[in-house]
Amino acid sequence: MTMLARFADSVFWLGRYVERAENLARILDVHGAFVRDPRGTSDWSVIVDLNSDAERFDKEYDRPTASNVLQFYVLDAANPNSIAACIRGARENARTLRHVISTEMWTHLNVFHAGVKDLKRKDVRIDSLTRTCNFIKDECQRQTGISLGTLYRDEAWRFWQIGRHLERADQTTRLLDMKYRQVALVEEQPGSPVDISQWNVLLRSAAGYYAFRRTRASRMTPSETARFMLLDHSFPRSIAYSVAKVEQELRDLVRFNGLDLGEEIPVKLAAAKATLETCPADRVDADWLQHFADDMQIKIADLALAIGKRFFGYED
Amino acid sequence: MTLKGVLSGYDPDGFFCEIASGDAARHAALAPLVKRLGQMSLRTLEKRAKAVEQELYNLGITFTLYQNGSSIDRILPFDVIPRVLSAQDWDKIERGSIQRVTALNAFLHDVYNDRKVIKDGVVPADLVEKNENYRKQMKGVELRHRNYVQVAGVDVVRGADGEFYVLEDNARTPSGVSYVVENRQLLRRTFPEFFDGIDVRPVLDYGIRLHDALVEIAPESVMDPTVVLLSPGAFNSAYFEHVFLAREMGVPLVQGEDLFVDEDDEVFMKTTMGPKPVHAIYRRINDDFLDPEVFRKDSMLGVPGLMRAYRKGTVAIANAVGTGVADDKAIYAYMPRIIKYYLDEDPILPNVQTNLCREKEGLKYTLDHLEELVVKPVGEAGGYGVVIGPRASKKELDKVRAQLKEDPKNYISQPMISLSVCPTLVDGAIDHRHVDLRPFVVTGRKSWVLPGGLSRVALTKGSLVVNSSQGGGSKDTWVLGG
Repeated sequence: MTMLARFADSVFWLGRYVERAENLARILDVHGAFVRDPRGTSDWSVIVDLNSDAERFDKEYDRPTASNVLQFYVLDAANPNSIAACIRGARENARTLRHVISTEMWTHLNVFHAGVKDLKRKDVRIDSLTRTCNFIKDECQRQTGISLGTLYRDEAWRFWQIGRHLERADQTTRLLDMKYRQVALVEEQPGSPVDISQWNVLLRSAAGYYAFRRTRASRMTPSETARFMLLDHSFPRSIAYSVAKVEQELRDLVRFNGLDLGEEIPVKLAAAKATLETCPADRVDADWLQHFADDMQIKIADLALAIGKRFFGYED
Repeated sequence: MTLKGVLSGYDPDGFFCEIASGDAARHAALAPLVKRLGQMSLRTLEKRAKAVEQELYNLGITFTLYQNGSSIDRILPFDVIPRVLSAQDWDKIERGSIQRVTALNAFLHDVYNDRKVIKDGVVPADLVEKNENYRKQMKGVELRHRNYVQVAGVDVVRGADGEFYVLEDNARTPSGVSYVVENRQLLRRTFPEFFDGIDVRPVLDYGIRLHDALVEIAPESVMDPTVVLLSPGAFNSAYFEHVFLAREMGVPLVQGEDLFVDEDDEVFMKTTMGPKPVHAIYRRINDDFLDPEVFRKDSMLGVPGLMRAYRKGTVAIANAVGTGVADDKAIYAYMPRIIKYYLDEDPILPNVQTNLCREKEGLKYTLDHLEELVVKPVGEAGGYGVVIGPRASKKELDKVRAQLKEDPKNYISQPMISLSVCPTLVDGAIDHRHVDLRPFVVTGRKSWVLPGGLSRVALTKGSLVVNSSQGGGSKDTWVLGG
């Protein structure tokens, strides 16, 4: 049973949008925590830079205040990178896929979408930010859980998994990148006590704190934390894990669904993996990480485009 | 019938009531439901009705309105008190609907081939040839089983005399069937006790029946034909129904951009593995958008070359192209004669008496009795442009009088039917509201009628307009076992 190219595209984006919304909530929450730390920065422009949204943001808002940035990334549906826009996009794709996905996936997303539409300015004030971010995270995870439990394991499933993990890999580079930008802003030496507490927040925001402690009890250093989030094959939010997942699903598309990957996809996948291998074994410094994040994001975009051209009918 | 409890104050006000009127046999069949309804408190009814409404939103059983650049999701209001048809009621509707579809198919085949019906003077030539829904591209095209109308919606009303009358035939893309099935599932979930021990005929197999019919009209040479549903897309107000039908049939829900026709006039859909052949299309877009090579050049919704493939017989399209010539309000007036002509039978379901303003006597009668009649434009759908004489102001009557004189061909008139009523939960009380009925007839090799159909209810007191665009809601429609 083959699948309409447009549906493959939609289900890929359904996975991406939900994952993106969840990660945006994580990023906003971790930054909020950072800001509440008296020794942290109160600069919210890092979030705008992180998503390369400066141009769009400056057009609509005068200054990158907490209120403006949160409005822009949570409520502002005109911003395609906002949580509101992601959930709307997810729902629109789900609507198209309504007869391909389970009723439970659709109903949850439909109700979730209504909940996000109901969010008000007061819900993104700094004192309610964690509650709102938790709401977004919970509902995104609920959507993912329902999908895991109900989505039929055909092509739709595999393209959903690919979309989700490509997005997660991309977002993890942003989360790491943000961390280093913040550190640079407070002008602390990486490795100082303040810095360690910031890394804690980062690990917690990626739900990796205890796993990290358990596996690297004596190595609580920024470099080790970065390597954990980049390379740990057992940590489900690491880039290595996400890329491996993409690779596996691509393989299964060939094995179980009879698709042919063509020439470009394997090349782009190999390039993404090669970039990952450039991670230093000793000190991970901010410059390297920033450069790596940019590079990795490009490699992920290239791979996504190759998949789109091969299976979704994207033009060159 | 004695009405108790929550129904004790209910008064159908002289109209035929779908729950309380009829003969002894009908009363006996309805008694278990009436008893159960009577035992329910108004509070419970209201509470569960609210829950149903929320569920409709949650499930996204909505149609979308676009206003000032933003979109609003609306539900079709659902009334929780079912409308019930006895086995005898249904027998007549079922036979009558099939008879009409059989006659419509014979008429369409004749109109696009030999035109005997015109030569024999049964139907005037200009009604066919000048009909804007007549498609000359269909001349001489031979369809499997000579079947044009795979899905028909026959709109039926019940008068004060308890008789059913056909109000109009819908032979293009009648909608609403998704509500029939969804309403049943909603009611079963929220009021399971209504159904206890009552034999209500099932509606859940509609998708399977429709799929079977599409397979039966697909090109004969194809062993295992691929069926798709062609939709204009998520912005169409009936998109929920398209999704529903694709799901219930288990077929891809495609849009024009997903299909193409190759140089051998065969239709393909674009899949992740490349092109895959398509053999039958259940389309929910109008003729004029179907193929920009033949119809509207600006159509982005259709598939260039689709008519080439269709005429060559490599793909089946349901409903057939050009069925609109058979379902407008002028042809409707001739339906009793059309049935007699092709089937040599009297109509099982009578028409509402119709005055054709294109005919001199019809126009004169209409102008003389304007205050008593309902005047309808021939080509409109959805209740638009209808003037109800007894309810119209003097200004409205003057306006329609002028329109009738100016363009009599464009109008018909009918006596006002006292539509039957059904108890309905409105504003915290149970009151009578007018209802109609749209049974759905699915035809492949043979015809089948979904037991029930869409009961629409005019929620405004006294209103006879049941259209969803004008404040109508719907009810679950029960057909009781024999």
